[in-house]
Amino acid sequence: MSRPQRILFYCPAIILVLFVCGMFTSRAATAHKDISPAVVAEDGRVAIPLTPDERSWLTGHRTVRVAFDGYFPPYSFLSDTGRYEGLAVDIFKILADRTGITFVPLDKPLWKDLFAAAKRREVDVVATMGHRPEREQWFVFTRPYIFKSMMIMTRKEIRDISGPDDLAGRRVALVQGYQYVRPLLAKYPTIIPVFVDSMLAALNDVAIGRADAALIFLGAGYYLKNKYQLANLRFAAVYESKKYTDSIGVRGDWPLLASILDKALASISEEQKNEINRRWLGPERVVGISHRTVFIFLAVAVGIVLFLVAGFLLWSRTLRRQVMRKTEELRRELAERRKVERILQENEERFRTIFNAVNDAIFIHDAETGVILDVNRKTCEMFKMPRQEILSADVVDLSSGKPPYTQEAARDWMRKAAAGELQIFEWQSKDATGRVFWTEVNMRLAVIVGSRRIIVSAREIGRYKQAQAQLLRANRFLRTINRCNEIIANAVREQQLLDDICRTLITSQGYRFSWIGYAEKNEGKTVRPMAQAGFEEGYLDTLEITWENRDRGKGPTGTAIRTGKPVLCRNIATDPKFAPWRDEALKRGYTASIALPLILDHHVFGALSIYVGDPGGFDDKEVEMLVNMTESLSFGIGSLRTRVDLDSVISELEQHRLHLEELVAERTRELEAANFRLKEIDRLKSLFIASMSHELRTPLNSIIGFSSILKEEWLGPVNAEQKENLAIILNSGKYLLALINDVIDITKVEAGMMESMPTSFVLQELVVEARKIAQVDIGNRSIAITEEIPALTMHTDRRRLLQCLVNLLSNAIKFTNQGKITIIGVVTGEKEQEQILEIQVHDTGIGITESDIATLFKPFVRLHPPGDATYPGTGLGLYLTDKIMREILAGEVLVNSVPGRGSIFTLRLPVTLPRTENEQRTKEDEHGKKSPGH
Amino acid sequence: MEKKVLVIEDNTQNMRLITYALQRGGYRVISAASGEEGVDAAIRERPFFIIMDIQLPGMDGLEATRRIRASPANGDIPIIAMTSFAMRGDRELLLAAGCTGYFEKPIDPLTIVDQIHEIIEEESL
Repeated sequence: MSRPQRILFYCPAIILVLFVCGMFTSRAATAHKDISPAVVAEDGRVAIPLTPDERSWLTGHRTVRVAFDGYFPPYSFLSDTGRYEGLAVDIFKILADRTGITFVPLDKPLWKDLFAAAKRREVDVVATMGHRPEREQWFVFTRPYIFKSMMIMTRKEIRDISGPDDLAGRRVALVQGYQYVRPLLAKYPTIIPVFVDSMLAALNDVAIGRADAALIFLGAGYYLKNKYQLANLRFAAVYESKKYTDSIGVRGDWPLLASILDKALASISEEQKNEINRRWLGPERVVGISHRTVFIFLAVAVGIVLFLVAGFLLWSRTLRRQVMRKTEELRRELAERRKVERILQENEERFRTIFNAVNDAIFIHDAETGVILDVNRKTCEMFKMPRQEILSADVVDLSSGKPPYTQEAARDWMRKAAAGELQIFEWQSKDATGRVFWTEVNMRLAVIVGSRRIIVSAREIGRYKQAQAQLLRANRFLRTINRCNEIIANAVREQQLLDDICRTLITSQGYRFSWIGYAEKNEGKTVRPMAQAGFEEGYLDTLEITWENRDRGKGPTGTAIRTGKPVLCRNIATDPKFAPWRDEALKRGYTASIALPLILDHHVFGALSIYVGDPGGFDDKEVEMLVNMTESLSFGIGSLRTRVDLDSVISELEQHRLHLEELVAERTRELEAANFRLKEIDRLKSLFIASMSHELRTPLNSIIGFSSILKEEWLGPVNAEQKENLAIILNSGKYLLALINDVIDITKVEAGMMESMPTSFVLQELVVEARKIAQVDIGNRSIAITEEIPALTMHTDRRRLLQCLVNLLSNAIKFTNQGKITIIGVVTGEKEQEQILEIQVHDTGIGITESDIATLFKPFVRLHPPGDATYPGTGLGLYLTDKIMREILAGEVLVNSVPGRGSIFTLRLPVTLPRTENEQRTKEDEHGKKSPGH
Repeated sequence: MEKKVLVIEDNTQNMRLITYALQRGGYRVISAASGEEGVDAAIRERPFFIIMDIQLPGMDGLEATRRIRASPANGDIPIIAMTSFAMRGDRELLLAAGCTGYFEKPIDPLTIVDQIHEIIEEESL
């Protein structure tokens, strides 16, 4: 059945449905009257007949908590603004009005929540509750005031649900806890229940396919479908009509409230109820099951009639349409053909235009025979032939014919192209005038209208070709120059350099012959060939080359050497300058030559000559670069020669260096030996001093001791002369002992072997001791020694300090004839560790000049010649004192003198010898514990 | 009556010189040339004081001093040491061995007796 036919079949069915629907709608409207509840209505202000008990209860309970089902539309539901609305809510408004109770809604919209809350008596009244026996344990019920029909709702595309029986095996959305659920499941055990919390959720599940149908109160279903625009849902059937009622459920312990509300409900008039019903339920319209059967029967009958009519109509229409289609096809074919012809014509014109406009010569050959079938206008221009002539020409007529541009070669190219390969190559072509020119040829196979053709395009590339050749040559030349420069830069030996340059010019650049000659400074001013490469064949032997200014010296090489300028001979065959060598040169294929002078320090020492074999000769750029290269070559030769000089200098230097090293080594050896000898001497010196300290002093002591007791006449009287002699022995002995002692001490100090031995002592005692020792020397002179010493305990090397002080006192006594010597002690500094002691020895002696002061502390300095009886002394006293003060006592000796008036010598030293220095000294001593005295 | 003094010294020249000085000072000198000899003489003679050379062959002065001091009878005899040189810790070493005091060589015969007296007096103070 075709599509239009199907539509024709359904049309009357739809009309029929619409008709039947209208009929049943009117019927449903009449049925609505059955649900009018029985109420007692009173006119005007309604008075409810209440018992005294009920009245008194009311006065005690002005506020009652009420629970509305938030998802029980249209009876009670949460509006979009969050308030409870619906039929039950409207009824409660009337009840509130009539009883004077204020109903406070509970904030639990879900049935199961509010039901549980009611059982716990968290709410006093449930607005809508089915009256069931099991609920009476918690609640007291009023009369029913809501009468509900149950209906089945399904999706529009589910067409096979038309009654409760069809629910078997289906998923049905059911509101958990609603009173219809249990009986339904008991009756249809194969139903797959999909439990939800509200009727809206039930409808939603059906709408989205989670359930196939929902069992829902009719009013609620209507209301929700419209409100939420669940357009894909449809009413399938009424399941139970008005079977379900709702009453007000009142908490079980408040039966008085139940009876009050019951009376209040009864007081609502029929009219009021209708009004409220209309507002929330609208007219009740549902298709009953029995009417649906009739409808299907009628629809089928009418459908069959309509099918027959439609079938006839279609048949006649098909016939007519076939005739029309044929006619149309013919017409279209005709138009198509004309169009194709026009297109072909256009294409041909377009092709011809393009073909002729192209700037390449284009040939169309027959792929099998090679015959030229067509050429474009450019071909005629390029080959300077009329089209017909070209069409009858052969490839060879259009080629230069020089190998490899022969007919055979052309055929070969054609064959390859005919095999399907694109061929691109360069070809030497020839036009009608015999002009040969280069073309780039492009050959490809094409199938044109079923025939195999070869399309050949040829483009003249003469100028391009020439430029390319130039470029190639220039590139090659650059490479050559580059190589030459490399050779020059890396050259080690001059002859090698010349050979390499000549060879490179031939192998890399393709010159025919090159040679380098040096100018001889002999009588004939000949040019001596130094290096050569290329095609020579005895050329140089055949000619006498000179740079003398005469006939044979006027050739390019001679001229170049003589003038220092490059000489270019562009054409050997015609250049008169080249006449003497022309024959030999031409015999060897030289066509042009250039001679380039080799110049070093403004002096021409030779020339590089180059001969080419091709008629192009040298171009300007080439000449310029060759000149540059030759300059580099000259420079390279020069630097090689310098390098040779430098090398010899370097080798000489190297020899010097080696010699120096030898010298240094020798000197080092000598020094080491000397050092060794010095160490040995030092050791011997130490040994000598050690010996002196004991072996020398012992006999001296005997000399001094025995001479002194003799002189003192202990062993009997001696005469005056004997006494004098004994005195000389005694003094000489004492002098020698003092000298030895001083030398030993100095040696010790200088060798760092004198150790400081700090002890604590009283300064005054030390000064007295020093005075006692020194004043022995006063003899019979009138010298008074006084002391001004503070009470001070010192901690330093007592023995050495005593030695120093005795030295100063001895000096003072020595140089003072008469007067007084004063010893003054001064302590400065507050902190004990930093206290400084000054022991000044003032004398009224001869004094010291400034120039003498400068040499005062030098060894063996005596202000008077030794042996002078007036001023005995070793000349080491002050030197040693200074040394001991600085090295051992961490102090110094100061001198202040006025000649003729006297001197002040000062020992300046720390009261306490610094510990660190002491320790350091101790360490040093322990290192070298070979004190000579031991 | 002359006081006996003991000089222990191996160097004969020095012994001779010091003997002159002591005799001049009114002492009778008993001489010993070695440590062992000196110790015996000290115990036997019980001198007024002893001059002890420290550098002696064989038993040295320090050892001799210790032995003399070890004899109960000679515990308080002044022993004055003679040293050839001052060495580190000399004084402590000498005093520890039992010397009363010391002087250094070379001796000055003209002043030696005074020096000895000074040492003994210092000690007896």
